[in-house]
Formats: sequence, C-alpha cells, structure tokens
Amino acid sequence: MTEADAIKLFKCLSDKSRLQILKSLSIEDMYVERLAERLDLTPATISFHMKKLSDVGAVKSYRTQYYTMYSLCRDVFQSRILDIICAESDEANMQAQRDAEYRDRVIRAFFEYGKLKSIPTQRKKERIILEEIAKSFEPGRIYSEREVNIIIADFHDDFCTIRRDMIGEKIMVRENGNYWLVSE
Amino acid sequence: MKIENYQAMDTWLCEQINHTAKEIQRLAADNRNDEAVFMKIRKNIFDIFRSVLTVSRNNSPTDSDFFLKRLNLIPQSWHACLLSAQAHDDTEKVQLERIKLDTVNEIRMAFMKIVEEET
Repeated sequence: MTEADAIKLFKCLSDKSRLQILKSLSIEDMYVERLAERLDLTPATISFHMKKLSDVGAVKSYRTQYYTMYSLCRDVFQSRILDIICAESDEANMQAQRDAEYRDRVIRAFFEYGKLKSIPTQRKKERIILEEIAKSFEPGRIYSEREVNIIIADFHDDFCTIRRDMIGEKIMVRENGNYWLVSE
Repeated sequence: MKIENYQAMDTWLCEQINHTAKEIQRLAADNRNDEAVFMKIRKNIFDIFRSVLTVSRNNSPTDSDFFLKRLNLIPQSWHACLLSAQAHDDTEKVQLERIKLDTVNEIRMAFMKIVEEET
C-alpha cells in the first residue's frame, strides 16, 4: 500500500457510520436497504458511504438476482499499520530535494567569487557555509593550525571564528594543535 | 395570508433550524462528519426560505403565492444539478442535491398545511 493510498484509506475510515458499515460487512455481505435498516440510516446515506468505501478499495459489490450486494475487501486490511509507517516515503525524497535547494540558496547568498561575504548569524546557515569550506580540506589528512588558518583565510578574514565554529560544529577535530576532518 | 400564519410558518422554520443545528453538533461529536455536512445543507435550506418568508411578508403580505412560487423557482437549478449528477453517476452530488430538494419538499408540505388550515 502506498503512502497516498494509506492516507485515503485512513481518511475514509475516520467516520463512525463507515466503520459500522464495515463491521456489518465483516459478519456477512449485505445490500444497501439491509444496511440502512440495521444502522438506522437512509439508503441514500448508505449509498453515499458505499461509494467512498469502494473508492478506497475497502468494499466491493456484486449483483445477485434482486440486489447489489456489498462485501468487505479483507486484503486491504491485511497490511499492518507499522509496515505502512516504516515504508519508504515519497515525502522523504521531496524533503531531500527541498534541503538541497535550500543549501544552494544559502551558498549563493553568502559566497561571491569563491569568497565568503559574511558569516551567517543563523546557526543552520552557518553550518552549511562551514561544510562548504570543509570541502577544501582532505579527509584523513592532519593539518597544523597554520595550514588551517591559511585555507580558511582564502574564504574569509575572520579565520579564527570559522576555525572555532568548525570545531564547535564537529566538522573538524582539534587535538594537540593538530586538526583533521571528522569522518562521516 | 394572515399574519398569524406567517408567524406559524416562521416558528416552524425556526424549530427546524434549531433542530438541525443541534443535530450538526451531535453528528460531528459522534465522528459522523459527512452526515453533519448533510444536516448543514438542510439547515442552510431552512435559513434560505426563512429569509424568503420575511421578504414575502414585507413585500407581498397578502399573497401566499409569492412564497410558494419561490419554493418552486429556487430549487429548479438544484433539480438540474441532480439530473446531471445522475447522468454522470456522481453518487456524492446526487446525495447532496437530493437532500436540498427533499428539504424544500418538507417546507412546501408544512406551508401547504398552514395555508389549508387558514382556508
């Protein structure tokens, strides 16, 4: 069951009348008038609910000699709610795309000709900038403080703040005057 | 039409409006939101024709046909919508249009009863 199908099904089921219809059909197949009498609703209202239940695949109909009978589609209800929750979400991909677009916007806003125009005050934006600067460092290589300062100074004069914040954001590690990138 | 009969019709419409308002709350509280919407439609129809009754009393107080004509005229578009919905097998729309037309029929029957009692 896709996430979209699950949402439609849950929305459809969040109605007492429709739940009562399904309970009735779980006992036996029924036609509209019988359900109407059983649930004290008009046949027109039952038909309305049946259409909604059919649209999400919760019930199906078949003709007999005199009536259109409705039956419960038990397969639809075999999925565990936990499986639906744990299934990969379309939303996850959309979110990743939005994150990437946001990142690009921040980099375009704060970098000009490869230089950092200013250090963002907002932590989320600063982290993006620091990660961008971190690309100038080789993973696994140990740098002296002087080397770190020179690389950072290429981007911005305030290399002290940027160096300190890269440590604070755990993008780099400092030990005994040596610096290296935190491995992913 | 006598003033008392306008009053009787207005009282009847008020009772329906109050009753449907309570039903809307009851159905919504009972997680029957679609049926609460159906009841809102009924309430709206009662509200509409209460307004029409007021206009009728103010503009043509002696002409009981004024209100009756509006009872026939206003639902014509709803009837057309019902036929279109039936032709397209639109179950939801059929239900909504039927509710409107059934409510108008109730109003018409109540009004006819009051007018007959007058005569």
